[in-house]
Amino acid sequence: MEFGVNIPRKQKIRVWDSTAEIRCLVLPMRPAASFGLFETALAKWVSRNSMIGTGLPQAPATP
Amino acid sequence: MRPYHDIGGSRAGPVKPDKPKDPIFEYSWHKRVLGLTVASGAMGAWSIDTLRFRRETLPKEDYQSYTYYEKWLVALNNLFVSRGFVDLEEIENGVYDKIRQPLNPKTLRANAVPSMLATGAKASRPSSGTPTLFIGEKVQTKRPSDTLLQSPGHTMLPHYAAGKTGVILFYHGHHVLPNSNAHFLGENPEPLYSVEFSSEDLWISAEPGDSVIVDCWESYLEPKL
Repeated sequence: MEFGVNIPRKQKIRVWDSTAEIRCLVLPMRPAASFGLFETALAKWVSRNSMIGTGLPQAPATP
Repeated sequence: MRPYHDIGGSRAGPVKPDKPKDPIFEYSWHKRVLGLTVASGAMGAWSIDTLRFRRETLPKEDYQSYTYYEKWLVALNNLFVSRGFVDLEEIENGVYDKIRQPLNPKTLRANAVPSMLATGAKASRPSSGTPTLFIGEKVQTKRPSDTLLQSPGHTMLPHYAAGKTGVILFYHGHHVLPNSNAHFLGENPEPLYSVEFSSEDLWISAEPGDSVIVDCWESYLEPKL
């Protein structure tokens, strides 16, 4: 799609349009493969795009 | 009629997202335009709503061909001139040399910039009266032109969500009404709600279950009986 994010068809999507001065904090959905990791390891999964709702957390290239 | 700046939901070409290592400001003058906008905003001579109105009402050809910060700069220049802070001759010559009233005393000093940028300017106001709509209530949006307090005028109700039926999801307290504040008519705070619309009610082609949430001031809404 627009930002290169492919979302499964069955995934429910709610779009938040910021027409007022209310701003949203995006909590990226945790990928199943990241369970069991602690904070420092998890931080490597988080990208800017995943924090603004235009990407999903990705496994870091090298562990 | 849909104004040319109100393009939500229409095809506007591909999005080219920045790469993670791209600079925050593509050109150094972009940074200066942001600085000029923030510093002059601190004078309190106009509001963010006024600036948005000035940008969205630039001539159509300019609006559609200018980049983001070009719109910011030109709208700000127009505002400086129309509010009597500088004149066209001074902008052309690049020299501020006319005798005027003393500048606004609310000068934004360099040491106050970081805290100001970090906190921003609040748009919420103490509640003055109770909201007339309740969470879970079915509401209908007006036409954007019916929310204007002057013509041409400013509204935050997008065309794609006009005349649509939705449900109140949140009440955010009272917020400054941009439709009024943009035109120096006062803040006139109103109850602000998040309204959820089914995507199928907004778009010709939509997946069942998807939705769009739009923040709407009370005067944009009518109870749907």
